[in-house]
Amino acid sequence: MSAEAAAAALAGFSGLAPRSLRRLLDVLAPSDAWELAVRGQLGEVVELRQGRAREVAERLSGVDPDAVAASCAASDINVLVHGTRAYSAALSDDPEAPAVLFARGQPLARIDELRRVAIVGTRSATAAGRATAHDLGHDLSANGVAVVSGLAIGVDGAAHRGALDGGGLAVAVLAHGLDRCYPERHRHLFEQMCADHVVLSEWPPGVGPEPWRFPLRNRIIAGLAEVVVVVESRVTGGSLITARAALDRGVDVLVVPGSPQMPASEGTNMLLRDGAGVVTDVDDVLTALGISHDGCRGVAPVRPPGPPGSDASPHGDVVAALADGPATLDTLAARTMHSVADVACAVSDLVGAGLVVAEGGWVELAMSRLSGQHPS
Amino acid sequence: MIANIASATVRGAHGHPVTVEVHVGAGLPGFTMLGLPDEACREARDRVRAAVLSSGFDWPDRRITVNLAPPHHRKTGSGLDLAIAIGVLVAAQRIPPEAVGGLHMVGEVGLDGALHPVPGVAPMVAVDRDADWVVPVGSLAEASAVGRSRVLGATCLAGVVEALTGTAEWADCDAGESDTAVVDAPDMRDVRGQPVARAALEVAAAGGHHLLLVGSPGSGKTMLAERLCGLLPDLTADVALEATMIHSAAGERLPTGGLVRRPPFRTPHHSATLAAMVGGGSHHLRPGAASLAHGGVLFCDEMGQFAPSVLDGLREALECGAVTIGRVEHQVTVPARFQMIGATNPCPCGEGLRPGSCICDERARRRYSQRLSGPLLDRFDLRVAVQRPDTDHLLGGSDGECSAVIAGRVEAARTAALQRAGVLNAHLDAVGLDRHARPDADGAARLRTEIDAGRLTGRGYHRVRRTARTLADLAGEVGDVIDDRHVATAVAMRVSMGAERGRG
Repeated sequence: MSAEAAAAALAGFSGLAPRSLRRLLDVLAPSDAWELAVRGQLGEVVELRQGRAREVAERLSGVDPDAVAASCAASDINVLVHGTRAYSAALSDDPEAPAVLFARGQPLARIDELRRVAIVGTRSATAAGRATAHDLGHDLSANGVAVVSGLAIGVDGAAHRGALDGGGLAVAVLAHGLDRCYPERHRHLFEQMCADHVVLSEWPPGVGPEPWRFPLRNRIIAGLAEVVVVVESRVTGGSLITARAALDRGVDVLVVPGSPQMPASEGTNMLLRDGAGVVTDVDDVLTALGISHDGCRGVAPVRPPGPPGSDASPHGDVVAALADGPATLDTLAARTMHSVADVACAVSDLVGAGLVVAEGGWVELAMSRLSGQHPS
Repeated sequence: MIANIASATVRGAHGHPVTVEVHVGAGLPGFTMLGLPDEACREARDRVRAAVLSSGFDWPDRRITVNLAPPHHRKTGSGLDLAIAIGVLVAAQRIPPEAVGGLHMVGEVGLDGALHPVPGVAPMVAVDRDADWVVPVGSLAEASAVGRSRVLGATCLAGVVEALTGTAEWADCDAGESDTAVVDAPDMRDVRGQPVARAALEVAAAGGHHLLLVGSPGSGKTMLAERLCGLLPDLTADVALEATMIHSAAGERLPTGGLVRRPPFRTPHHSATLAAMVGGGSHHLRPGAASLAHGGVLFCDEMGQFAPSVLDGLREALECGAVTIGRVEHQVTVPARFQMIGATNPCPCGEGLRPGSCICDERARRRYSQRLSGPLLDRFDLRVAVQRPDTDHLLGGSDGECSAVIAGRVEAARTAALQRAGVLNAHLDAVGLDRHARPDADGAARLRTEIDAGRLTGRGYHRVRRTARTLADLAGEVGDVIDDRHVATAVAMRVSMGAERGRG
């Protein structure tokens, strides 16, 4: 039984809180800790409540560390124990850094060579929010900054895709074993990242995406990042947990401002009110990192070749009416004073031109909210 | 002595002729019924005896045998009471046999001799529309709506006997012939704002399209659905007759005049069983909500809450315009050609359509959207997102256009469609679409873009053209080529749903 095998088995199946596990492995070698845990004598080393050591022993009674190690190897998962050379230097100083990390893709040391920015936000993002996350991810990545996020749908996925498009390194921190992909919709993205980028988790293979693991995961994102950018978040959003974890660590939190009328901006606007920095441009993030501004901006400011149609057409009116946030056809017709048919035509043209997104009866701008990239 | 009285029973929405044969002869006093009567029918024995005695006639103290011919299929309900009672009186020589010759009789008798209406008189009369029928006064209207010959009413058993023997007149139906006043039908005037939903309702009415309303709670889905019937024209004579039969068979209250002339509106609750939806019951096979909506509108509110098997049961009706209920002994087919309106929330929290507002997690959304099967969703030509109207509209806004005006446009568009293709636009087949619903150059290009971008499926392509055809008809452009504006509007009125919908 190797040290990694013992550590992996303890991390996945002992039921110990990440903090207790970390304390345990800080004082004992994984193999010794394993022996002690199986015998129910953990209480001698770390402080545990009454009977907890027994419970841990019972949980571990059917677990074979070598089998856990084999399943890691089968999925090309590296096991990294805190305090060893292979463990990320960037993360190891963090007070809440996981005792054991599971990683796929490039060696973890690659992260340490790069500047790191986390881009997080809500799953139910607006099209503009997703576009903003994508462009930020792209521009940062093109400037050689590693982009860290959580592979969720919405902002996270868009940020990862942007980072991939920008040619830099993307880092995903997941809340489940790396032998599976969640959400299933990001299967392709997940596989791309496992191949050429870095995917991390504190859980061994076989651990499922239970809801309580996601807030825990957010501390790792905050711990890895030098700057956290929140693109869109509701007041109850998980990205606010990441933001709070970042503030606890003294990591800068930057926010992309949004319309006060959109639920997806409520959380981010609250962060702004509490003193978070503003991102209107990738330069804002680069400045926060202390990187000079002359790095390349990957995406040239895309100015659409003038909305289709003549001056009298409602296209421009529709785009203008959408500046405040998503709207329905009803609202658009009322705001632009055009007929529903004309608005429907205009929207359909604009969707074809990639300027707006129409889904579920709502129409929204598809352009990112970063400056210099507004459609009009 | 033997008497034969013609009567009928009902199964599904069809009447079946029954001849009540009564034999009164020597033997121990007794009453036997043959010919597979069900429980309600068998109880006729005691009702009839009490009614005959209450009406002041003697009960023959001899051997009475009643046979319900043909004897191999089951008779249900109490509608044969009158025929049995009259049969007994004829066989006991209280009434001369020639007085009942050629008369058909339906009705339930009370213990006091009164005649009560029974469900299904209309389809029973339809068994032989050219015969003379005797029915309870309460069923006179519906029987007259179907019968082509004399329909005679009576209030009690004694009245029937007196009329038969010529000592009194048949009772009259005192209700007025027609009810032209369409009272307090909900009007489109009450719908404020929501131009897209209003337009969708108008299109649905004009083209016969099925309509799915998607929106958060309180956005007015039910309010809109209730107003579709008011936009539809009166039923044609054939459909009115079918609808009347179905309503009668199900024991539903019929309008004064007996004939269902206005399109019916049915709203089955989402706890409805399959039998409640498509019809059922062991012998009677009562028509379900789908058939009761024949010629009108079936509104399924909270569609995702219906049991999947119930919704799937509707698919047959949506395809063939009829439901077939099979039993071991027999099967019946009941017409069910209705226009369907479904209403659903986009996701469990109800806010799923508005970008950045949904708080549901991915699995909950998927579970929710999977409740509506793809084949069912596909039947809806129109899938419209309904949003809560602005507060301004609700409080201050002016009334919308009223139903009567819209109904005028709808009528004109329907006439145009029927003249052009013989069917409503929703029922145009591929050949008809290619002939009568050709998009112009811009429209064709737009459709191609939509398909290439994966926003429109092959089936959706046809659906959108049907909707566009109706939009053009409503605008008075009845040629075979459809303007691009209508194509764009039709596309906008087909919101992607459930499995087709993607995020992230």
